[in-house]
Amino acid sequence: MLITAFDLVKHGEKKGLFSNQRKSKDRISNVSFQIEKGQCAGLVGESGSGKSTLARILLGLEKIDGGEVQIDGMPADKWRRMNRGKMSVVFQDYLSSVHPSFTVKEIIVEPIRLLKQNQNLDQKVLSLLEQVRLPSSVLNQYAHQLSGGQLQRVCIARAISTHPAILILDEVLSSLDVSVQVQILELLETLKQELDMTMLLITHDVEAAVYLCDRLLFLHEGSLVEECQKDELFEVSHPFTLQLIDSLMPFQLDKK
Amino acid sequence: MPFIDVKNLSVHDPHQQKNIVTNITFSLHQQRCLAVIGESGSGKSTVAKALIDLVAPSLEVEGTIIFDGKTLTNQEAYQWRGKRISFISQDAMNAFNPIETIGHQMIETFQQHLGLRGKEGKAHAMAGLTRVHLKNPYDLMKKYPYELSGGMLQRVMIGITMMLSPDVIIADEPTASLDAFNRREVIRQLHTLKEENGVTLIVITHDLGVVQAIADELMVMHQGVMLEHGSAKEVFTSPEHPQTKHLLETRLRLSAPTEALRQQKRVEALLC
Repeated sequence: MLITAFDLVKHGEKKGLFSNQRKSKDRISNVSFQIEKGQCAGLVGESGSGKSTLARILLGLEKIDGGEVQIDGMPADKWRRMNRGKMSVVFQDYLSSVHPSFTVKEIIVEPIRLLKQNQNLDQKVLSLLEQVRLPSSVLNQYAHQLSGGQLQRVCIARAISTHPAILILDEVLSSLDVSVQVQILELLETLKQELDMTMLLITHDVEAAVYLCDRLLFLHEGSLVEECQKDELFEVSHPFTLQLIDSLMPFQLDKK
Repeated sequence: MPFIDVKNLSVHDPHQQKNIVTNITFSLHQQRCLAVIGESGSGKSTVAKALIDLVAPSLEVEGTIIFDGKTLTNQEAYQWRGKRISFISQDAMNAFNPIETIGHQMIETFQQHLGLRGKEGKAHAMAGLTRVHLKNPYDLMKKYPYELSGGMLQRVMIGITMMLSPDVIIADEPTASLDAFNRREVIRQLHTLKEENGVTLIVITHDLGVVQAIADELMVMHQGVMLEHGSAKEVFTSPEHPQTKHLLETRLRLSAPTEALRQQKRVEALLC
């Protein structure tokens, strides 16, 4: 598996019908990158840097105005049509990404049903719940009865229910407490080893990206400014990346 | 004598028949910074709001709050709010009036609290926006809140607070919607306010990195109860309650890979 993005361009939207603004800035300009099979890449950037747009482009939720995305050597559209359910996503807003009148079981089962793999549904759901470390007692509960961390786990279970080859995690941690963030990160780490997926973690938190990813891509105002292996984090050279790393606020016990 | 003295502060919800916050007692000297940490739903925001009488009217607040030697009553809270005690709220989006420009709201605030009119108010607003490193303050003042991002509004709010030069700043998750660079900048600004202007700070947060950067004292809350209270150093080095240990330990685990790399490369972390 190889995701190759070449020279992606996405123009900004015009502000409104009567706006006198001639041309808005590009949301994504000339972004090229590769993600290898089984690799976990981290896309790090500030808010408004276009990282979520990039994820939506990979998912085919947004059209591109230039460039090309290839997966496994074929155009992304064709790959997605041939491999339904092989690309999953988990969003930041867990509450609005599940159906409010579905139980947890229905939420997780839905993508499996859509792919018409209806055998042993109960067993599949139970093993999925076990994989995301949730007790089986949540099966018949509704989304509003669960805590944020639990619901995010349900979303992850739904995402991996179709055995995806590519998993895109769009700011999965930002609306959770720090202690829950760590639990989710640990879960993703084990899933990464168990399931052999290609992962793309989109985040603004460098520490979280370093925790999970092998490779980091830094996005700034729509263009890819730097990419590095995890071990080379402190050898970056672009001013934006340096600024980002300098402004980390680490928590250390021995210093203070 | 402590500047802020809170005794047995409880907030009760009569509709659901339960306490949101139970028996909070702490005191804080001038030019000190208290950080309140806890998971979401632990009642830390409610404590902050109860300190300046901003909780919803349906809730019952009990206990005494002594501020600069005087008991805080509704009337005094009304007088002091803004000028002497400033509050930086969590969701900047709802803190501004949607149908007035940013500049208008800033000038109005300065007129109300500092008695500045016309050009003086405008100059003050410009200075406030410059202090929080916002670009093009002149254009910014003509904009409406919906045109700015959450992080920018948060900085506008902090800018207003700085220019009011209050004695106490209560900041409810001041860095929640900010990215790493701005978070550091805001924390640095709060730190200088404390050191140079003698401001007393109460910071509500869940980010232990922030706590370590500015806090002198630390209060840990869980389900409306105060678990631990002491100097930040002490709580960090010898946490007593398992919940505190859990909070510290998970945060350490998040930092661990980055810190390992940092040590390997011998790069020093910048401290505030």
